[in-house]
Amino acid sequence: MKKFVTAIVLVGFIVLVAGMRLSYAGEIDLLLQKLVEKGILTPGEAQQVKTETKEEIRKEIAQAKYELLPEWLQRVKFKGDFRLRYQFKRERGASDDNIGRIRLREGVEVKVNDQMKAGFGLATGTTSDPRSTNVTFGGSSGTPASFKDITVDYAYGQYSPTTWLTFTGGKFKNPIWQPTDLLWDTDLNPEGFNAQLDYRLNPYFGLFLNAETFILAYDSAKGSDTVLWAVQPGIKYNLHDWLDLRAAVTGYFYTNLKGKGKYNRQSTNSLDSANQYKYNYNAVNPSIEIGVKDPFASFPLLAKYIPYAGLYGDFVYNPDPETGKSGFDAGIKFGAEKVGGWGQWQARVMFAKLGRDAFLDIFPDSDRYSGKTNMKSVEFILEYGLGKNTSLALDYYWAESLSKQTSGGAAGSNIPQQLVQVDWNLKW
Amino acid sequence: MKRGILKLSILCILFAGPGIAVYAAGPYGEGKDKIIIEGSTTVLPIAQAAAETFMRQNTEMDISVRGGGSSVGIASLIDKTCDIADASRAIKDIELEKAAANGVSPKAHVVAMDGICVIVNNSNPISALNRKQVKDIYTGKISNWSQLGGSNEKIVVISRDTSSGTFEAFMTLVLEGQKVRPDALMQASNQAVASTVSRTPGAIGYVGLGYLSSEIKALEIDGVMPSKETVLGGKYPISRPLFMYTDNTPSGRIRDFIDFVKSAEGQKIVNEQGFVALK
Repeated sequence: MKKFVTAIVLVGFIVLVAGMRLSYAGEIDLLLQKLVEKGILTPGEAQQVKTETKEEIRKEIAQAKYELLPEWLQRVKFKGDFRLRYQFKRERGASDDNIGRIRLREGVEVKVNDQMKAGFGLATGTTSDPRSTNVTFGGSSGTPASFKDITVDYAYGQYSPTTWLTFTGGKFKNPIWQPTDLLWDTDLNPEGFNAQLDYRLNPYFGLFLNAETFILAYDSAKGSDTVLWAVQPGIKYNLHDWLDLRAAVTGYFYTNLKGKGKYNRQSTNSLDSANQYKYNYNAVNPSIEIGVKDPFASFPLLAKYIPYAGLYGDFVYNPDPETGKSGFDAGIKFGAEKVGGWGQWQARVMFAKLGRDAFLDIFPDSDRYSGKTNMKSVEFILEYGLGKNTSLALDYYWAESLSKQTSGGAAGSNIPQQLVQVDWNLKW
Repeated sequence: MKRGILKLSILCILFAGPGIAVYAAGPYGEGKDKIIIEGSTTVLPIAQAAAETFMRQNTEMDISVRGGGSSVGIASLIDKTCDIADASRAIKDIELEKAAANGVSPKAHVVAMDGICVIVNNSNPISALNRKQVKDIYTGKISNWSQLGGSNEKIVVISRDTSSGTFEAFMTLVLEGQKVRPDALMQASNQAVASTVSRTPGAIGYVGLGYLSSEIKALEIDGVMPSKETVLGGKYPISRPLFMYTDNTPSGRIRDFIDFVKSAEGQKIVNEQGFVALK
């Protein structure tokens, strides 16, 4: 042990004299070799000292590089993505639609101090549609190749008094966990406040809780804003690295919604004679997702191509309406857990059904039956990795209205819609 | 408005209840004798066996060990949610930069060496290959021993199952990320690979250094025979160090545990788990 300590001191001295420069690594190797030859160190101890010294030098260089950055830049993180999309839509009673679209998003997060952060993001899109950040080629009528609008996608302040408790205020990415986008379009960023508790009880089991206030409409005249209050308690469980389970129940409570509101809705929720919301949309929504790594470990051929498989589902129930009060989705995914590089792939299949008044129709995924409720659908997604941070995705939806059309040429029929999207995704 | 205030109050109570409860309990891992180890599935058996022995000798200790992979362990160390990150690779530059940004200073501790031997049946006249040839065999470019100067016999490729650390190391050090040919026979253990190769004249497989025996023939790779000396000396090409990372030079119970793994007793455990001990 004494000899080992002596050797470490000797090597440490060399590293110090060498000014922590990798160019001296060869000299350290020679010194260690001599120490092994003289029996001061065993080959294993020499390997240990050599590797640990090399790693220490790499760390010093990384830290020095980081410290060389201006102080403000050390506290800033940037992220963004670009998506190029081809989309085909076919719907009974309408012409086929072929369009090209792009989406650009860029975000910044600043660490204000050890407990506070602020962030904002800019994205393409329009201020009138919170569920889409796409812009369509040739979309500006009469102005070919027009400049595209950039809007504020999100802007928030965040306070974390501990590692497991975070308060957020502003316009932010929806913290309500959902395994699918049946109820919440992922582009929609709520405005209001959220408190999030994410607490790990032990290495396997954790609890989380979201409490969110989402201001839907400010009404100065009546002094009664329309507000969505959401509470989501949930659990996270990981069993020996092969099973991941997450489950939650979300409660949604609205104030000043029934008899009010004519938002940018999809004309599927029921309205009263004054053309206002007929029902309340207070709802309960249990969700679950189970992921299994190496599900086919006993079948080598399958195991090679399917390293991960997952099951997920949602249910939503609104007690207020007489009909169309519930909805659900269920799906499977398999392939890579996340598509992260060339040749990795993931496939997803999902069946969904959403009653007319099961959920407010301003929130669901805008691609699934144009974001309407009162529909059933099947979705198939195949994503293929083209390299680091880039992938190609094919997304196919088949959807149909739950109720039949009452007038026009297709009276008495359901109205089916097919949507195909081919996306090239680039992230940075 | 009153209903709004009532709902807000209910929301606050719902949120505050569990919050106060967990705050009173204190975050996991803050107990003075708790250590959380997370990371590489390759290092997992060493960490588990060492933790069991260490806890037997120090009954006040509570060590939680879990896998998840090297990246997961290092990410947890950077996020300060584990005390020791197991890794079968060195920390990446980007991870070092993230750690610096988070005020974490990852300190590497080499706890063992991993050496993988390419083996054939004793009847096979081939005694040396280079890594490119091994890669070509495992990816399907070479399928008959005659293509390598051996007898006219089909090569039977034996591999470890995809979840094993040995497979992961072989993928990185030899296959460079390419996939094993689909007709390879996947075996669940080093012993099963050695046993199959010993019974099958045209077979090729790979096992940890601790599984070599007179029943099988180890091949020279890039001109170097696998042995404890060539692995420890860094000469044998299919070898790599295995790490445990801590935030800074450890102190207290974490230092005691790392010292234990590096001690003669800890290195005996390393040997028993089929890896190359440093002592």
